[in-house]
Amino acid sequence: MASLRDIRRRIKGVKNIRQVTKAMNMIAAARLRRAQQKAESARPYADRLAEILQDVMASSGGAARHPLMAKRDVRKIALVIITADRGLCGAFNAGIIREAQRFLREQTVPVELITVGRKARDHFQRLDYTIAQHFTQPSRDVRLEEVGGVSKLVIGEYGAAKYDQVFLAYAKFVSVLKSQPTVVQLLPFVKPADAGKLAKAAYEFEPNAEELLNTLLPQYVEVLIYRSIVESLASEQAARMVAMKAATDSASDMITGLTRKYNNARQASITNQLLEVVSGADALAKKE
Amino acid sequence: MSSFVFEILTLQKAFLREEVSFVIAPGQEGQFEILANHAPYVFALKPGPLRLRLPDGKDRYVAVGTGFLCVQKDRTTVLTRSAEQPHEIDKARAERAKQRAEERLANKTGVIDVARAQAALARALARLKVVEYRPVE
Repeated sequence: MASLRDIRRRIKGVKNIRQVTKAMNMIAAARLRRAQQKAESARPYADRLAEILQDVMASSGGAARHPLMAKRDVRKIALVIITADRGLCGAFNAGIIREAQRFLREQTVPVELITVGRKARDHFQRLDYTIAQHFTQPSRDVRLEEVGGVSKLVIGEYGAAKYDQVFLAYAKFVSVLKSQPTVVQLLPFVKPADAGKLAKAAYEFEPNAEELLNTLLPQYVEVLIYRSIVESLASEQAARMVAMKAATDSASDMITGLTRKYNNARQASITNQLLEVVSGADALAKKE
Repeated sequence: MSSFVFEILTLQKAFLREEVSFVIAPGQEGQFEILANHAPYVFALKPGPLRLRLPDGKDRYVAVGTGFLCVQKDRTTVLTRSAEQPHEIDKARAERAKQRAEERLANKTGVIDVARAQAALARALARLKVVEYRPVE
């Protein structure tokens, strides 16, 4: 049985850990709120951009052609994988990586990876995948310039026909308790799924529809990447918050158990000592 | 003069929403003025100062980045990568950026660099213009 001092030391250790996990839990909660706000405030822009994009494509009678819409025979694919730089966030990174691997298994042509965040790079480097480019995870306030690198690379390489399709793997934020690892197609450009209602307004363009698409499409790609990065960030913080809450709870459980054990041991040793005294006294009494 | 709803959206936030009499925006093909009841229209913006006249006759300036202006029946929207009000602009920083960009353009080092420097220069000039407009109010 563990000595009293050992138990006391363990209780102290667990208490220290609980303090750390509790702090991490609260930090994650605060960051989650900000990330959610960010995702929220990007929505009007993204929605309107999608709307205009559809209007422009519809108004031009579907005649508008653009390099980013061109479908080619697929000989090489790029997959952008967005994970975190850090761990201690439950199954967050593992979930995205698993989804990415399922996607990779299904492909019949070579796939090159573009990783955002250290975890994906570390994982796929070990497995000997080709990592065309790595980006560190953007800072918490996700500036557009940080995302620009990814979208520029993707658009450039697609335009140069290095890749014939570009996909994006990220953790879609569903709720605080749930995030959905998802793989979506970035390029060639596919119409947004909610392309139901077409605006009847006939637009005039300046410059012409084609040139407008020239600026619209890259911006739209950038927005898609930005959004997925922000959502991943929110998912990560949510996952970390939940994981740290669980860790704090089980640390508390451990402390309760250990304290009980400690009290038992203390009681036992007191009883022992008493027994020794009493039986010593008994023995003396018998002698007399 | 009749007015209409004008809004500027960026990825970071809904930047501005005002009732305005007219807007003068920096289009890629030159300045473009929009009054109420304009026909539906979409055009590309380049970085530059955007001027809006409020119904009380006062003018406001905003430095916008690349993006679009979209005229719809009920409202006019600007979608842009960046938007800044005069008081948000750091004049000294914009001036430094302008100088840097000009230097880079003077001793060209590569094709990509030129495009980047030109974009940076346009942004810096837009900011400076907006800052200098301020006393006009």
